[in-house]
Amino acid sequence: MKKAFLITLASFATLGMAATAQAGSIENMERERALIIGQILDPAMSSQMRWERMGYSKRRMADLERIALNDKTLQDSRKPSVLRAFREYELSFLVHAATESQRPITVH
Amino acid sequence: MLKTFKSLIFVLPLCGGVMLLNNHSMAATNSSAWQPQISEKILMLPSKHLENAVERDFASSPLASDMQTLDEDIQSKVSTIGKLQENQHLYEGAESLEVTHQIIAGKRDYLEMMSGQLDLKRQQLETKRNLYQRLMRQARASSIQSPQIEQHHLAIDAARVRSGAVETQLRDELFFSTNLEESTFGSEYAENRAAIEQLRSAISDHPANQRIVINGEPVTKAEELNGLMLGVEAELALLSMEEEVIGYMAKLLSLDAMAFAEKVAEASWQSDDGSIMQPSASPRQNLKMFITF
Repeated sequence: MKKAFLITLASFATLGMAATAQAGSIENMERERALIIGQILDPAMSSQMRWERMGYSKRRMADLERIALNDKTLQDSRKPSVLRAFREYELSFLVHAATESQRPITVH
Repeated sequence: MLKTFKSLIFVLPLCGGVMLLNNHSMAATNSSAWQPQISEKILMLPSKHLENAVERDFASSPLASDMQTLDEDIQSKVSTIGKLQENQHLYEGAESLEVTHQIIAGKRDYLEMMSGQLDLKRQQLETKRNLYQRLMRQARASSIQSPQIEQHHLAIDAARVRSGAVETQLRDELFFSTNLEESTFGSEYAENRAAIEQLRSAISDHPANQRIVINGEPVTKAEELNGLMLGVEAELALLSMEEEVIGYMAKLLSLDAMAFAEKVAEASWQSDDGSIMQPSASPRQNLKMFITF
């Protein structure tokens, strides 16, 4: 009886974790953006390493920006973070905005 | 003689029947109904298709079926009256009166049926007008957004346009600057995006999707529905005129019936004994009867 109860509890806990682990497209994009900014500002990182990591992060960031731009659920979202992300395009969609301004991300 | 009398019996109620025609409503009017089965999703269709869908919905209703049956009856009645009128000159005397009676009775039936048909038509148009009003309220409700939501949608659209404009440039830049192979998502995204653009272009160029444009501005759904409603209002106005025509026809027919009743009564009176009634005799003519005792 106690075992069955523990199994059920564990199942609910797993489901709850799965639900909380799901993040929105904007949140994923912002997480990656924070990593990029961290790489840009990291004084301990060598130029070669920064260039390599930035290349990888930039490609990943471009994909995450594309996902966010095509996310239909954001159309009806009332979250302040979503509203702010689209209003501040230059800061949110870093890779696209940098390409538009024809400048590297670090300068943009 | 007997036949003439019979005609008289039929003609007298005919006059009253014709006089009451305008207020008469057919039993079929009450039993017929059109309850539109159209959902609000119809608003997604272009206006021409919307109109056709409403017509198809009406065509499958009991009201449409009754209108069609009644229309066939009217055509049949018109044909019968026409034949009687064509052959009327072939008859004489009592037979001629009988034919006239048949024509008047036929016209009365025609007016009754026509009045019923106009009632059904009015019912159809009023239901259609109410349907368009309901759809227009829906269209207006869906187009009204709070300024904040509208701003949010505008920001999303602007972001999509801006990102779309640099997409090719970004792909080239990622390829040359990072020296990395394009991600699976990136390549598939580009292919899907190209397919979506092609389909969007085909949709906007499709003849069935052509929107009405006035002064360079596309007409909104509410405006389209307003146009359709004006059309229904115009049809209702024409219907009122047709009812007036029926009223005048009924009046003319009642005059015909009264004239015919008078003619029949006169013929009946004259044929009672074939002679005009003699004036009453004076008492002096019977004087001899009293003085001879």
